[in-house]
Amino acid sequence: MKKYFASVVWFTVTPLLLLASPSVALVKSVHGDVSVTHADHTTVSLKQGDRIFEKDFIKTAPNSTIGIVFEDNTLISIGSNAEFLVDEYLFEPENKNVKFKSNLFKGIMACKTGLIPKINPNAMEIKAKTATIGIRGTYFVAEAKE
Amino acid sequence: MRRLALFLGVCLGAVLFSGCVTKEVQITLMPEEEGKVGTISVTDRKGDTHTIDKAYEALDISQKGEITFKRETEESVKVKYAEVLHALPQKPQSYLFFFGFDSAILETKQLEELKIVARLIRENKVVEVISIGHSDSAGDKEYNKTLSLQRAKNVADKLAVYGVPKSLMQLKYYGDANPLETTTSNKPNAKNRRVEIILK
Repeated sequence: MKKYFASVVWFTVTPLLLLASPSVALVKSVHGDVSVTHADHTTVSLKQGDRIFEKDFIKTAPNSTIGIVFEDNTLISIGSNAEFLVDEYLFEPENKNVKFKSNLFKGIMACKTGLIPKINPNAMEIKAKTATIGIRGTYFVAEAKE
Repeated sequence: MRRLALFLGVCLGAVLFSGCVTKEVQITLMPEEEGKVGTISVTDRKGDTHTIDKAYEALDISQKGEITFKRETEESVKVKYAEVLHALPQKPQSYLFFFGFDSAILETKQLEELKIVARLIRENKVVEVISIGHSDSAGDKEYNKTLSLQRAKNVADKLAVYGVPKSLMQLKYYGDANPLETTTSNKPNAKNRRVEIILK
């Protein structure tokens, strides 16, 4: 009975959470073929002006790049043949509640950090392969070689 | 015998293959426009933290979690990372428009400036325009919220007249909650009576 109740809560709450989740970034530019797989497993191709959400998995084809502007003004570009996940993103500057965890599975990314590491120097982290990289700003390139 | 050869072949293949997929990560610090450089730290498996804080310093992290220091140069980075450096977006730009006491009216000179902003929006492939209204702390808080919304709306409406698609625009308003200059409450302040336009 308990299990049954839990699953009912899960099914009713999850769609509401998904609906309520605000976008965390904007696609500023796309060259070539770039796709995104959302948390609900739907995959679409990305174009300029599209929105990025938490848990979005971004994949670029050969000779393809994407430029993204996050809510806190973090700027990120992702190069060809790359896979990048926006794992956690929280930007509530009014109560200093910030977090940015992403995962570069393969490929190259460049990043200029925005307000998040300024508000909390321990809030930004990028995982690449086995490495966890703590970012205190400000401008860097990360490469996950194959 | 044949079996042994096959077995050795498989072993050799496995060694070669694993050699090919040796995976590693490199992180390289870049200088900002103003010459400032940030800090990046990586903790290895032993728990030791490696930090870089100078331009073109880099860390190589092997699959086993071993970290080695590396030095790149401006030239090497430009060649290796040309694609992503080129694709990195510009920082969002912001513009301020100030208002008279208890007014949401834009002056002729400001309208000319808004025309320039509208042109920038078209030319720079801007994907989002946020018009944020503010007021000073003089007067009733609720009234000030409405006034700050009216200011934001007037700016957005003019941008629309000058050719900015409404689909790009967003309105926000804060009343007196986000002043440029902190004042005591109930104080007129010219710098706080403003609209900030952010172009992304």
